[in-house]
Amino acid sequence: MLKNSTIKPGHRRARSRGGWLRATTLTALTAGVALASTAHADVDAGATLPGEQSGNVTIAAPMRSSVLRTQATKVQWISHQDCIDNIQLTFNPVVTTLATGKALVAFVSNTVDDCKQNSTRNDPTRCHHLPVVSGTESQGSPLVTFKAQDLTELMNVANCGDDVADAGTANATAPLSLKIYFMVAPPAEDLVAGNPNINFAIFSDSGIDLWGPPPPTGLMVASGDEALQITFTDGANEASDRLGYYIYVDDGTGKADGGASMTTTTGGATSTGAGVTTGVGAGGSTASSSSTATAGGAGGASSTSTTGVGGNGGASTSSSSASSASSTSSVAATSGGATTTTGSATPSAGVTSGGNTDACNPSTVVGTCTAASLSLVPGATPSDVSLDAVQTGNVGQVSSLKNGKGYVVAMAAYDDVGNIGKLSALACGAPAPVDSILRVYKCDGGLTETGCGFCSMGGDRGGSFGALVSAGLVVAGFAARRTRRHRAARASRGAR
Amino acid sequence: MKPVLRASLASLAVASLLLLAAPARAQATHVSDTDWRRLDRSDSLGKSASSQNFTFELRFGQYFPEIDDKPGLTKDKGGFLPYKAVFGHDDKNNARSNDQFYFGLELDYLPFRIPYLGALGPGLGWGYTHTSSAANTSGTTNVSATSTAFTIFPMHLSAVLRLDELMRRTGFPVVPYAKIGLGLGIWTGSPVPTDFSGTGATWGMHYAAGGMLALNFLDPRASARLDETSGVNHAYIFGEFMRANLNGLGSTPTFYLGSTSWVAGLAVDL
Repeated sequence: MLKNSTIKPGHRRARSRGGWLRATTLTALTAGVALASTAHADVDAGATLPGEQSGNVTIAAPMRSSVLRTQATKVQWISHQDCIDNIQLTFNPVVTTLATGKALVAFVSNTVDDCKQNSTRNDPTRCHHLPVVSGTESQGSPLVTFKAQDLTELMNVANCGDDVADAGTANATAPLSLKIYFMVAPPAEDLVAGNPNINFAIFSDSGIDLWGPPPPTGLMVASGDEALQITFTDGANEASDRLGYYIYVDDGTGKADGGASMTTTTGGATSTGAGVTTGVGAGGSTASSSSTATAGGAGGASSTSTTGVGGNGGASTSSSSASSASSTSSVAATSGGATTTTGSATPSAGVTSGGNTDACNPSTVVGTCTAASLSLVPGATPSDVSLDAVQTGNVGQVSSLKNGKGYVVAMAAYDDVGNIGKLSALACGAPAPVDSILRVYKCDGGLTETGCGFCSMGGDRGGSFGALVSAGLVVAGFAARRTRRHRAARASRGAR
Repeated sequence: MKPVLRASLASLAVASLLLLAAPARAQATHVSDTDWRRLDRSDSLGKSASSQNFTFELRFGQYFPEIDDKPGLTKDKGGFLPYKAVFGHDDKNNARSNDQFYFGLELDYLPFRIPYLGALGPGLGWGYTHTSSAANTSGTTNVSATSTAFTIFPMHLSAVLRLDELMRRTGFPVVPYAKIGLGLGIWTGSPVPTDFSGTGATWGMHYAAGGMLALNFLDPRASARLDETSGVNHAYIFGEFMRANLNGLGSTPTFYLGSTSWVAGLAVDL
């Protein structure tokens, strides 16, 4: 019987990176074979998963060897970072009565090619055969592990998609849904309902999405009190998988006040930089998932800026330990008055910061920012999430900044798999003190007690307390008088 | 016909008409809808109605903070005192009034009855008024991305006199009242400069006078049932002139928080 949505999830859940699942690629861990009754006990009979099932093969949701990335909602999909980390997906197909000499085989295909069709199944360009286990057991529930990079390469995407020329743009952001088939010795015929030889299960809630959505456009930064407000226009989102935007802020040192630490990388295995429009070199390759990253690539040929910027270090599990050969330099702040709202960045000499920001009559200096001296590089892909995110609307805010200090702002979109797209064009601004009521009141002479709001409660004459006590005495007096009169009236009635 | 006879016949005719009219009215009205009880039953009400010791008010009105009235304040470059300068414009720098919506609650305990006058007792009131506006970047007329806000909680503990004897004795549904007592305003402002407290308080005096219109006459039976089931003796709408003179009571407060305003609302006797 062929039916939809009958695959049941198991109880096991993903383990953190480096957990107990370290199986070889496409190798069945037959040591984990257990009796079918035991395997069935692991199945949550109440729930269903997307897919199909027929015969004596059932499949539960796979387990991930790595925890999900922040904000990701597609649990079993492979993101760019998953591919870089080469995470593992481990399935636990349950086969009852696996006959001697029969083998459990696996295929992976996109959602267009149907591996149930014999001709498609035998086309290695459409259905990728994954030999899993040769059956010697009459029953079994092997653990079958796939590695992310193998899956992506089988789907003809090498180097986790970093070699794609337009990776991260609107042309290359479409996610690829996958179907993973588990079959018991499929006959050389189409697998159709009613065929007693049909034993298979399909898991169809997985896929590959290696590119984040394109960045927003038209960033405008408005200054606030110790804050910046960013308005923007949504970028293209053909895949409709964008969940929101991260805001990255750089004060010229690569680390923003109140925001996440900022490192960007173009990743990839190349050691020499391929210049992007702003002269960004590709990052050095990352040897492994450890924190050791190679030096960044050479500066790319820039078409718009005067100097190319060397690529940052390769992706690292710890952004703070990634070494970088970037030519990024810190920015010297210049003194000046309070800075005000600025629009989109026009690359110039550096970040301008203001001084004397808390005076009642600050002078006004317009902050400027530059692309060439910062760790924020338009078109580069951030290696880490930001604490400042926008999920709805087209206005974001970054707070806990310093007034009078220049900041460069960029944004990147993220999708439901956890991919972060490329950085937008830069914009800059400087938080500045505002004419709040308390500040204006103070500057206009209203502050008389060094800002102590409750000082007046005691009063220099104590009048308030006196009035309060007087009012209390009046009320108490009325009450006492009324009580006495009531007692006297009752006494007189009793006397009569 | 003699004038005396003519007058007698006329009187007889009028009396006959009245006698005829009364049964007709009685026939036109269904028996179950009749209400033979007196409308004014203040004497019996005093015995059969539930006790009446509390009054609860829901209050709504405008509030005009007198922050700019504090002596010593200087005007800004635009010629405005601080509160007007900050809150006297909208988010697009258009001029607007700086009056604020006011909401309040008040509970009066009136255990003392003054013969032929009314009830007297303490009343505790709490209010809330808030305003906010986009703040300009300092030293400019550019609207910034930061809002500034100011909130006042005007409160008072007052002696309340409600002159309800007229209503109790005649059924005339108007109750004048007056309040006088000690006021207290708690304020909060934001954002807070580094050398300034973001909250504080100012003492003062509180005065109010107003009138309440009892709504029981609209449906006496429903009012009686309400009293029996919930203890609510009367429901009122009221209007009140309120003067909150929150200027520190001789001390030097950070803010003058008072206002002179009209307040309206709903009240119930419990």
